Amino acid sequence: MDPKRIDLDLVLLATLEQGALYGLEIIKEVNTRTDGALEFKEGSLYPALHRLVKANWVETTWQPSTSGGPPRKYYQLTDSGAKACQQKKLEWEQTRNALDALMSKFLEVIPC
Amino acid sequence: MLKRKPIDTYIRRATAGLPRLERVDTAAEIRVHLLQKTRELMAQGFPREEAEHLAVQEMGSVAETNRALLGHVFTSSLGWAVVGVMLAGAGAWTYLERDWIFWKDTTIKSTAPESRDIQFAMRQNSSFAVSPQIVPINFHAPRGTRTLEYAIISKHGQYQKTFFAFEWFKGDWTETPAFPGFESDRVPMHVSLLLCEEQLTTKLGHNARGVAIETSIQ
Repeated sequence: MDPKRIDLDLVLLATLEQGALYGLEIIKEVNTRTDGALEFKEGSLYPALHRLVKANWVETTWQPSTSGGPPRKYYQLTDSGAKACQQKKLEWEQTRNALDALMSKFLEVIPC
Repeated sequence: MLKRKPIDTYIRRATAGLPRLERVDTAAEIRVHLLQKTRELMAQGFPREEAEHLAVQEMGSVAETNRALLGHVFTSSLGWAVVGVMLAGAGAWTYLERDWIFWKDTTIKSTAPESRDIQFAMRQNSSFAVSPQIVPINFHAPRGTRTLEYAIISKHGQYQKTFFAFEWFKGDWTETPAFPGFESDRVPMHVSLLLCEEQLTTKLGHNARGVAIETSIQ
């Protein structure tokens, strides 16, 4: 599933709720938590993260690697990012409920 | 010739056009990502060259990433060329076709009298008691102007009579119709120039030259 259709901002904000992560970790976390259902090109991750930084929803820090590699840039939710995440979750829930209601009626009419 | 690594090429293209500090920061971040990805692929048994290639492939379209990082679509020289051509076209069109830009506004400037102005003044009325005041005036009016009205206001009734005449750009003198009331103190004499497009129009508008001739009260 293309995350652009389900609000990539929400995907990233929700993933960062658990704590600071760097780019590749975010991708792995999304893959793990969605069982690979959400796949996005890795190149689209950084522009999306940078957009969140500009919105002041996420802040960054360079930290030394724990595995001995070069330092990594970690992304962490700000307070306003946490609020934005809650708001987006609420909106998503409303959309999902509306779609569930619509689809349940549709399925009653045309059984699959 | 040394072949550029796919990782370097990807980073260079993905970050092209970003401000210097942002480019350095983003390039470092993407490089760390690609190097870790390469290491993971090598750990799975891929040779380095293939692992680097696969790591870059998994990033997706470099042009899309670059566009998204920049926040606009003009990421290629062709894009800038298109913008340049459009701006040049719009500028040329505005310059040639529009009349509202400042240098096409109506302008009226006085100049020093030339001998032809004096000769013309004398032709108009040779019975001037004293030398008349002669004020040549250059007009510029926007394209499409049909009539230009100009008012001459006498100072404190010093002047009895005012003629006004104008010449078309590269044309002949033509006297304007005199309006009643110009002899009164501080009453403007309105002068209408009937501009003829056939005679006057240049791409930038009308150019005309007139001369105001004022005689003293005796």
